[in-house]
Parts: sequence; structure tokens; C-alpha cells
Amino acid sequence: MLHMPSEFSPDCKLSIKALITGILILVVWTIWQSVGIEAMRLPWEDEILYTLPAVNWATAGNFSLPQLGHFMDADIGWRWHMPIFPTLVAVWVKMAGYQLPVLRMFSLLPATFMALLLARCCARLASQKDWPWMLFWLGINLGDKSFVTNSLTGRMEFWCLLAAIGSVTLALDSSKPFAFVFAGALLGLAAGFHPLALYFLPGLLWMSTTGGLRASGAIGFRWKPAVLFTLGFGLVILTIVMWFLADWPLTKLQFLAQVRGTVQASLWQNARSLLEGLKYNFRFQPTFLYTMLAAMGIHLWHILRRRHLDMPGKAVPIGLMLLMAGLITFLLQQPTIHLNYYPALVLAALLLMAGGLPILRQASAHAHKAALFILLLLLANNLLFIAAKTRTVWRNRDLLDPAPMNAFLAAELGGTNRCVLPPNLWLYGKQHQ
Amino acid sequence: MNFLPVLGQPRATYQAYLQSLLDWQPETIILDWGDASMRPDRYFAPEQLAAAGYVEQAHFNRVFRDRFRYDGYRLVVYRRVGTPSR
Repeated sequence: MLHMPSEFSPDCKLSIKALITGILILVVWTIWQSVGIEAMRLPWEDEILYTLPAVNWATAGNFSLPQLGHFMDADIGWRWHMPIFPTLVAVWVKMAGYQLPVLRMFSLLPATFMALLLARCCARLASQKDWPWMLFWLGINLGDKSFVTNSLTGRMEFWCLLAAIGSVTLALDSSKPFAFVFAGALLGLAAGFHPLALYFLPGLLWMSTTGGLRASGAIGFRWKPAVLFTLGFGLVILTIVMWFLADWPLTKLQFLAQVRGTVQASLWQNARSLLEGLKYNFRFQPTFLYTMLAAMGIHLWHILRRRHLDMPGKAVPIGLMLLMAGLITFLLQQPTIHLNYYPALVLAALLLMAGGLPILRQASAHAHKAALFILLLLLANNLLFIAAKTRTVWRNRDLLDPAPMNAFLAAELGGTNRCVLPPNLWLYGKQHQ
Repeated sequence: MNFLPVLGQPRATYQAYLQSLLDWQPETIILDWGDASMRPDRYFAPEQLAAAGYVEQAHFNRVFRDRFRYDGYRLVVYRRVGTPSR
């Protein structure tokens, strides 16, 4: 029988048994993800835009994208996005080479650590002491469609989310001054991978200021943790800003043009785009979509209702809702459907679902049991997706071998001096050099 | 590369980029219609290539089962008239 405490418990610790079991599951998951990567996710242009500058840097010493010619001075330098991801990719490529599986592994590794930290964080928020609960959250996370498909992409989101969930963990749980500096620095690092992490700042500042899971009773503000958090965050952000300022004309030409290009539509258009994206992305996971909305409703109800003495505190629910509100604000600035941002949505939603359990437990034992049942349905839904993905890879097993396509490209391109090809083929051609 | 992975630029910017590639006079151009069919505004059109003196030479399909949208490679090789075929 699993132990289920009735409110946020600051003292529950997750065992070494949970950690070892979790790591074993993650190893199996990583191996499973590595089979049939093209069948599940073909190489796409983003994997080039964000990794090729690093490859050029690692192999030729130029942090630029001459493969785009003179377009926006791509051959002079690279300021299209945040700097930390291509910097790490350059080191990774230097060590492991530039091949599709290697590149995908660079996303899968942070995804596994992120899943582990998120599962631990969910168990803490749900005040679940027993280690099977952590594995329960891990299962939900690892089977999530957004998580599975997007971790197969050579982009920076999972590094961003790994640093962000590290920051959430520290802001929720810590009382030592240095931890708040570190939490702030982690959020700064997350933003150095992708600016979406900046939208988590209000929620994390709130958690640091109010004491996170250690807060009890009425909300009390502590300014010292907020100052320390801001210090850590500010130091990293300042370094990133200096990198952009080091070549301001190129920053204006590339980064600011990219930002303008992605946020130019009206709020109404962006909202429609977000709704379409949610409908498309979660078409196989209706349970997730409705549970996320229910979790937001439960938190809102808890925050707005009059406080009773035996109620769990409101500091954490407000912090979690601020995280979600920040993310929705970010998503509402996107005119096109960016499914690669949805793992961040899953992260924020799972934190809300976990945080909603103690609230429901306090309100009614029946409601709590019903919520656990719905979460079990969500786990079953995600396990079904794992089975479906496995079936897809199996049904495509005769197409997994890239040798025939390699032979075709070699025959058509052999001896060619000037060739124009799609970005995904650039990566494809490189993977078997 | 024949596709600009940069969002939100005016159509003229994408067209100017494609024209600059043609001005470079590559011997071979490979299109992936698995991807291009979803974003025709940013890819070469067959008639644009024909007008520039390129003819279709070879095809290669590798399309995965049970996939949605971009479900596989549909490669078409175009070669400049006068370039010996392989």
C-alpha cells in the first residue's frame, strides 16, 4: 500500500532504490529511442541551422554558416539564436563526430536527466514519499508523445528544460543562500539555450521569495532569496548579452530579424495557432489535454477560495500557475505551430497535476482518488503511445537501413563541384562520411 | 542549401535567395518533395528550374509507413542542361 500524505510535506526523501531503478529505465528508454530514429523523426532544417555553425566552428574554426552564402551575412558570423547550445554542440561534435545518431543523442541525454528531475519534482509536489510514485511520474513523462518525438530532434529545448527544472527544484526546495544563486544561474543558463526560459522568471522568483515547499500558512515574502536568485540569473544573462553586443550589427541583422519574424502576427492569430497546435499535438492524448485544464482549474479554485487553517499553502500553487502563465504568454507570441515547444508545456502541466493532488486530498478523499485514477489513465494513454511508436518502427524495419539512399546520393553527386541540396540532406550526407 | 531555415521573412527575400543559388550555377540541384510540398513558398518550383535550364534526371523515394505530414524522402535530382548525366 502506497503512503499518501495529505499536504505538502517538506521532509519526504526519495530513496536510492528509486534513483537506481529510474536510471535503469532511462537507459532502456534511450536505447529504445535510438532505434529507428529516421522512421520517427526525419532530419529537418532546424537541426542544421542550430548545429552546422557549431560543426563549422569545430572543424574549420569559423562560427558561421557559409552554406547559406551571403544571406544576412551568414558567411561572416552567427548570431541567429542563443549561444550556449551551439557552443556545447561544437564540443560534442569534436568528441563524437557529426552524424545523425550522435546529434540526436545530444538531445536524448538531457531529456533523460530532465525526465528524472521532473519525476522527482512531481513526487515532491504531490507529497508522495514512496519510490514507485516517482517511477509513476517518470512513466508518464517518458511515454508522452511531445517528449518522445521532440527529444529525437537535434535542438536545444531539452537542455533548456533540464536547466529550468533544476532551477525549479532548487527554488521549491532550498533554504541555503547559495542554492538560490545557483537556481538563478540555472535559469539564466536555460535562457542561454532558449529564450522561452525567461518566461519562467516570474514563477521562479515567486517560489524563491515565498519559500516554495517550505512555506507554511499565510504567504510570507523573503527578499534575500529573491536578490540572490536575481544575482545568479543576472550574471549569466549579462554574459549572454555581452556576447550579442560583441557583434551588434550582426545581432541586429540576424537575431532581431529572427525575433521579429517569429512574433509579427496578431494575438488573435497566435491564439488560433496555439489552439490548432494543441488540438494537433494532443490528438492521441485527449486525457492529457483535459487533465491539464482540470489541474489549472483546481489551482485557480484553490488560490481564489477563502483560506482555512487546515488548507495547504497557496505559495506553491501560485508559483506553479505563474510558470504555466509565463509559458502560455510565450506560446501566444508564436504565429506558427511550434510543436517543439510542447515538452515545456508538458513539464509545466505535470507540475500542476502533481501540485493539485494535495489540494484535492485536503478537499475530499474521493476527489483525490478520482484524480489518481485519471492520472493512471494518462499513464495508460502514454504507454499505448510507446507501443504504437514501437509498432511504427517495426513496420518500417525494411526502410531503416540508409544504405540504398546513400548509394543513390553517392551516384548522383559523385564528381559534382557545385550542388544545391535541402538542409536535411546535408546532415544525411554527413552521417556516413 | 536550397531552403532558408529562417522564419517570417518577406516572400521576396526567399525568392532572392533562391535566385542567388541559380546565379551560382550549380551543376546539380536536389529537391526533397516530401518537405518542399509543405512549404512551396520557400522552395524552387519545377517551372523555375526548367526556366533556368535544369531538367529532371532521377528520383528516389524512401517514405515511411504510419507517419504523418513529412513522412519520408521524395528526392528529385535536377541537372543543368549540358552537364553530363551520371
